[in-house]
Amino acid sequence: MIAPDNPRHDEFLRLFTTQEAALRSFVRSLVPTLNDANDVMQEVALVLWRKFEDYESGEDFRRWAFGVAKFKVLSWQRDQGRDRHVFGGDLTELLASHSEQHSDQLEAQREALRVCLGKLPADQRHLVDAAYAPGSRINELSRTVGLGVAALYKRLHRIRLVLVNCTREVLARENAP
Amino acid sequence: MKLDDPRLDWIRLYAEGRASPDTIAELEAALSKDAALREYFVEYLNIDLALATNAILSEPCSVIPMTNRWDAHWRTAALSAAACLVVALSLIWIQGRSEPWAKIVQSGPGVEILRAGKATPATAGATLDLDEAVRVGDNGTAKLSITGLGIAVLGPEGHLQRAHEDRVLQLKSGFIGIEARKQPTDKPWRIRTLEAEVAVIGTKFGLASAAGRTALRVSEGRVQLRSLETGETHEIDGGGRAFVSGNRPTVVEASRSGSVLLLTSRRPPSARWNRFNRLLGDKLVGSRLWRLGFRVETRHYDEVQAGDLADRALVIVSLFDQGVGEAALERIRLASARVPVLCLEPAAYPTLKMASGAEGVAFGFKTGLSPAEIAQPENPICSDVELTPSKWYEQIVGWGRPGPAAEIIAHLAGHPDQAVAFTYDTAQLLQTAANETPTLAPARRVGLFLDPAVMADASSTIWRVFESAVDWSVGDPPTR
Repeated sequence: MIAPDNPRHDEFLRLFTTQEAALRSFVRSLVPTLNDANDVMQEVALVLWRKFEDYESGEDFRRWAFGVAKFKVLSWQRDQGRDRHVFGGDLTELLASHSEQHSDQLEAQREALRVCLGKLPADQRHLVDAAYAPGSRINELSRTVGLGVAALYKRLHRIRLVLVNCTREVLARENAP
Repeated sequence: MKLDDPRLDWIRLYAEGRASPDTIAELEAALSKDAALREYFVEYLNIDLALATNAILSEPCSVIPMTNRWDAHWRTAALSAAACLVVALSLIWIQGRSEPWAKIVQSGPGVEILRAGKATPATAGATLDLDEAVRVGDNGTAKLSITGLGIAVLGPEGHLQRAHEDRVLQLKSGFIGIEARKQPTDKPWRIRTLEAEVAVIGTKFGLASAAGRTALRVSEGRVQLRSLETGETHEIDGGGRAFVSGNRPTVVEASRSGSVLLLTSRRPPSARWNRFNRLLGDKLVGSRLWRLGFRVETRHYDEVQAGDLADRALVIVSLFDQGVGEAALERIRLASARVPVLCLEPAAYPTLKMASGAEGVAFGFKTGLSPAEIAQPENPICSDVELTPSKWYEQIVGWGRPGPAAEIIAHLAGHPDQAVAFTYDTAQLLQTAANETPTLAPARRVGLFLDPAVMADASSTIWRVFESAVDWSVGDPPTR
C-alpha cells in the first residue's frame, strides 16, 4: 500500500480523476442499475489504489483500470448471482470489449448530451432533473407529478430513447465530412 | 433502432433494476447475438449514467436576469435572489434531512430493516433513513453502502443504526466489517459500540461487539480506538487487533490481517451431520469467528476457486461427504497454500497432507461416549481448558493419525496415535505418502474435531478450544 504522501499518490489521483468518467461508464455498461454501478465503482477505486504499486508509469492507465474493473464486475456478478439473476460471463466479456473499444465515443456521447438536453421541452427537462437529482425517489416523484410509478418509468424511458437518438444525430453531424 | 422495438423495454426494466429473471434471460440472449442491440444498450446506459452526474443537472438559480436599469428592477432581482437562496437552503436542508444514510447492497436470510418499531425483510436496493436500523439474524450477513463512508458488511447478530450525531454509527451488537474511503481528518466517521468508539481514518477493519467485549481487527490503514469506560485511546494500525471490555485495560496486539474463508457443503453432508452443519453456521461462524473481529466469507466446496484463498487470515475446512470435498481441496491446492488452515474434517487430512493413508489408517470415526486425553496441557490451544476431557466426545468423534513432526495436543484415551487435536507449525514436515515428495507446511495447520453434541452448548468450554485454535493458527496470542 502506498502512503498517501507518496508522489505516486498524486499520480494516482491525477490518472484516476482523468479516467473516472470513462471508467464509471464502463462499469455502468456491465451492471444493471446506477446504484450497482456506484457500489462497484467504490470497490474498483479501492482496488485500483491498492494495486497501484503494480502499475508502471507510462503504461496505459485506462486499459489497466478497465481490466481491474472488469474483474471486479465479474466478482460482483458472482456474489450477486446467489440471489439475483445477472448476465453471464460471456456477455459481460462482449459488453466489456465493446465499452472499452468505444470509450472515446461514449465520452463524446456524454458531451453531446448537453446539446440534446437543451433541445428537450421544458417539462421533460424538469422531469429528468427531478428524477436524477441526488436522493430522488421514484414513488415520491410520481406523486409530485401526478403519474403512476409505471407510467413515470416509461416516460423517463422514452426521454432516454429520444436522448440516445439525438446524441447519435449530433455525433453523426460532427463527424460528417 | 426503432423506438417501438420491444427489446428496448427489456433494457428499460433491466436498467431500472426491475427486470424479472425471464426478462434478463431474454435480454441476455438478444444482446449476445445482436451487435447493434449491444451498441444501443451500452449507449442507453451511458446516457442513464450521464444524466445522473451533477455536471449536467440544471442550474435553475444560477442566473438572475439583470439589466442596465438595475434600479428599476432591484426589488425583483433582490426578491429573486432571496427566493433562490431560500429554495437552495431548503433543498440543502431537505436533502440533509432525507438523504438515506445507507443502502442495502446485498441481503441474506434474516436481515431486517427496523422502521418505527416494525421489522420488514431487507432487500437489495432498500435505503435506510435517519431513524431506521438494520438487523441481521443469527445466521446471515448484509452488505451495505454507507453514504460518505464506504462498504460495510454486517455480520450475524448485527444491529446497526445511524446515531443522531453527524457521521456516527451505533453498532448495538454483532460484527461490522468496513472498507472505508479516505475520510476527512477533521471529521471522520465514528462507529460506537457499548464499550468503545473507533474513528475511521480511511481503512479496512472489522469491529465486533458481543458479550460485553468489543473486538477490533484492522487490516489496512489506521483506526483510532477509545474505550468509553476508561477513556483510554489507542491508534491501531493495519495488522493489529484490540479488545475493550468494561473498565479493564485495552488489549492491543499484532495480528494477521485478512478475512476467514469458511468452506462448507451446500447440503448437509449426511443425515448424521445435520446438527453439526447447523451449528457450524449458528455458532461457529455466527458467534465465535465474528466475535474475534474476523470478517467471515463462506464458500461451498462445489464453487470455491483458488482465487478465493487470496488475502485470507485463515481457511476453515468444515465437514463434507467423503469423495466430494477432496476434489475441491485439490482444485484450490489448499495443501500448498501459504495460508493457515484449521481442518474440522478428518477425511480431508490426507488431501491436506496432514495424515497419510485411507480411512482407518490416516483418520477414522467412532461413535458413543469417548474420553479424550490432553497430551500437551501447556499447549496454548488447551492450556486454558477446564472442560473434563471425558466429556469432549459424547456422540461421535473423528480422529487423525498425523506424522511425527506434528504435535498431538489431545488424543482418544488409550490411543495416543489417534489425535483429536493436533498441529503442524510452519515449515514442519507434513505427512505425505511414501511415493510423494516430502512437503513442509507452508503455513500453520490444525486438525481439530469437535463433537456436535458438545458444541450445542454455547457456553461450553469447547469453544475456548476452538477460539484458541483460531488464535494459534493465525499467530495471535490467546484471546482471553
